[in-house]
Amino acid sequence: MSGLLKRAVDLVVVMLCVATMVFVLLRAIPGDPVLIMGGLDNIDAAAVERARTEMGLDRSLPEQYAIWVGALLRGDLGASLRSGSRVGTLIAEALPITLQLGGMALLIGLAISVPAGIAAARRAGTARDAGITALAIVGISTPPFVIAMALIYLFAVVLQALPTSGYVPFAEDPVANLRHMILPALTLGLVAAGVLVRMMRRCVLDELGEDYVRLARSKGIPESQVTYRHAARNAMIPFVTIVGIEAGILLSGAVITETLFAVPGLGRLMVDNINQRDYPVVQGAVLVTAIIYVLINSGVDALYAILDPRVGARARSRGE
Amino acid sequence: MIALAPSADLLRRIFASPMGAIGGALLAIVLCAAILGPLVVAGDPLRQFLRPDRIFLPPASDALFGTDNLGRDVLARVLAGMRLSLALATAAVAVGLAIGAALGAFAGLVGGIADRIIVRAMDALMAFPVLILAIAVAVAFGRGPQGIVVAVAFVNVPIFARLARSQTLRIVAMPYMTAAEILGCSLWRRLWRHLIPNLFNPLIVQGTISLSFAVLIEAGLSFLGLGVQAPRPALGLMIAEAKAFIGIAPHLVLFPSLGIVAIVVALNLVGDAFAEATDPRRARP
Amino acid sequence: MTAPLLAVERMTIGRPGAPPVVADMSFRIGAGERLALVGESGSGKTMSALAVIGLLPAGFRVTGGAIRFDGVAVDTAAPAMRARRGKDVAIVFQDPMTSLNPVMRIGAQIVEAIEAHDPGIDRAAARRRAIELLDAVRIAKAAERVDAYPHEFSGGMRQRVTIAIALANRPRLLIADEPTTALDVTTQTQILALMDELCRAHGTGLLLITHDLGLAQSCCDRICVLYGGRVMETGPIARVLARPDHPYTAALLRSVPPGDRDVEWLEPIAGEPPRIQADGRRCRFAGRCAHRFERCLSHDPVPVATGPDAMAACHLLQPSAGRGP
Repeated sequence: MSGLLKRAVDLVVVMLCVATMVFVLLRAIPGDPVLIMGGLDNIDAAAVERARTEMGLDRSLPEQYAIWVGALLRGDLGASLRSGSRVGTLIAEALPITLQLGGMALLIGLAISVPAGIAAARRAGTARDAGITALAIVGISTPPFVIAMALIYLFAVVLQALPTSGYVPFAEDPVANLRHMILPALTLGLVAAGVLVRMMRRCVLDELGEDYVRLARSKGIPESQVTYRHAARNAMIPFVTIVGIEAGILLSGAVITETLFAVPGLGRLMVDNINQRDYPVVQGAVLVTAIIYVLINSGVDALYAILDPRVGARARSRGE
Repeated sequence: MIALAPSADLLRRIFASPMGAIGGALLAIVLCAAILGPLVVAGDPLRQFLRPDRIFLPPASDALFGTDNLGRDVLARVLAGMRLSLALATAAVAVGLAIGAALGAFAGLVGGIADRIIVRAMDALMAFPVLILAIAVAVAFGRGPQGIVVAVAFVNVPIFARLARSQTLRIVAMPYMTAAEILGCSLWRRLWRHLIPNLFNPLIVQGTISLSFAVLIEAGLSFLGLGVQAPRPALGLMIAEAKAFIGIAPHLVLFPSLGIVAIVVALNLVGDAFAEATDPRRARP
Repeated sequence: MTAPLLAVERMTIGRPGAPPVVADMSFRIGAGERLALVGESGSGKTMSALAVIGLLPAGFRVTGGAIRFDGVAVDTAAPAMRARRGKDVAIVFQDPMTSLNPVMRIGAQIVEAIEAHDPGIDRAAARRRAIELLDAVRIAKAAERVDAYPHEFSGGMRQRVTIAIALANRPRLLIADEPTTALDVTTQTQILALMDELCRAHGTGLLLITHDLGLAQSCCDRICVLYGGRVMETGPIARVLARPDHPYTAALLRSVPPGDRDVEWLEPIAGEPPRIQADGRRCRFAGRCAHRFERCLSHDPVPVATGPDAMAACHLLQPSAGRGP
């Protein structure tokens, strides 16, 4: 049990660091939120003061920090300076959308990269391998918004088949939801695939050079069986770690994609409110994003234990 | 005499591989275009021609990449934008490398509490998805190119710090460092002769990789409206402005995109070739 | 006279365009016979073994000579060889710690070998056979351990598993590439005894690759001594080791402690094994041979029959040399 406890403590420490950093960063941004939010014309000084007090912006910085951390530890993310809505609520509305986007993107990315990576590794050094690698390099060199533009051009302008912005909740209308989400998910998925293809290829190639692959071949089994049942199966283990890292990249990419496609997810929440200097919302959103990222990496570790019988055994023998 | 620059042999090996050769050629083209382009190309990136017969011209012999909604020459704008991207990315990575490497090496050498604090701080920074961090910093610095440089440098500091720290720890543990100490070498001399030259290669390799990401981040930030402001040309900004016209003038999105992709592909290819050439695991002929 | 099980005739192995790692190699193994392929590191013995089963590393090919099974020349690198691999000829490798797929249960790995050449077999029957095989290689509680993962086994036990896999389909030839080098001494003896017993029981021929003369002697009928990718001497093992015809074999014997008495000094062989170069025509061992003379440095030695089933390649044995063995 101590392993898990250590992990939890680590998580809290990192979260505190992140929270502090967010706080400091935001306060460093010049610009008074009250003035910005209210528009800069005809401000009545007294009204500004009242607004400040309401928002708690008249306290000293250390005081604000202490209040923030205190509230955090109680699970309270504060309220939006603009609308007064609970930050927790805003995030709870935006988070599932981002998760759906990320999930779909990851699935698309894996569906492309795993077979392509294996195919490239199998024919390493040939034209097919060079072609797949070249595509992957172009993939990682293209900014997400360019991919998005290309997809928009293809599907919305030329084919006129899909909408280019907006969002419909799944519960309301599953088909419309998917129609709106497919382009952003495809965008992110292609970005992810670019990175993952080369990683999968590398992982499979490394396995193909191992002794047990040679022994498998010596049994006289078909080469495809060697590739899939032996090399690829073992390659998934290091590959899964990379997928975890990729999750962070996906979260980054989601920001731009959500903004472009007007999808009301966490990323867009952040961008919109940074400009407005709505500190609590941004703080809360960034914090939640960082938590998700760390949780994903922990999840990857757990997945490792399932995929690799050696790890699970060692962990069990240590009494974790 | 310790050679600080990549040796001629290393350079040859980098560009001998197919990836390195293609990347090198592409990089040369990109650099020529960006640096020399404005001298050769006639158009002015800022000059507008608000006449119906001069706006939205498609790519043709007259205006090679066409003109945009304000009649500006797209080719000139793309070249200027490429120059900006390269300059900003290089500056940002250089700053990030300098600060990060100094921090990391310091942490590795000094150890103790300072080391632990630095490590935790870097970990916390890396827990942020990169773009979000960059956006926060860029907004903090206000509009304009300096914000971009600071933002991209900021996200690079933890990467270089971690690298420098792990390399420092490894080098300091080497027998030749202990030997130098026993022989009476002063700390500064040991650092100068042994630590810094050995840090060089991994940092440069990471630097090339970071350059390609820096260009992408810069493009993303300018797409979001941070960084240089209209009417100055920045590739991401141009694409954002062109989004509305994608139906009638797709070339306005196409050419800046090609500009970004060309730069990043070239940097990625050269960076990869560099990484392979300096990988100690590769068998030497 | 029936064709031998395996006949390697003047085989040359190498990367195209580079000097060969093995040249002009010939040996024979009859049904049920045991041949030891002996030599130092870099002598080409592993490459020869891999060539026979068709598992040469990328880039390497058999560039000359022939490999014959039952008298029929076979291209071991061709896809058709797959039908023989694991069925007529099988191999056991040196390092048991890395020879097994770490994420696959050992029972499944044995079953895989069985199903490769008997696709219609019922899964339960294959599993029973796997358990029988584990029993035959002396793994205790075979029925329980059949579902274990490789990391749950020690090195010696893993090597037993690889032997079980190799012998699953009763191959007629077993190639063992330094099967005991990575094991401790006690386990070495056990594993060797196991291989000896199983091969004898099924009349399996054995090609044993080793650098250990004692091992070769305890296990095999005939020996083939390699140096620098060339065959130096072959013959019945007892005779070759008692009265070697080739200076290299003699030097090897002097450099190894004899099992039966104490000696004051061991005589190492001066120099180092040759790097693979386009040496041109010369005896590969000439650089380190105490008996060399001018001809050794300018002409490849021609194999000379030294007995009904033995040969040696040394200029000393040529009648023209004027010097006797």
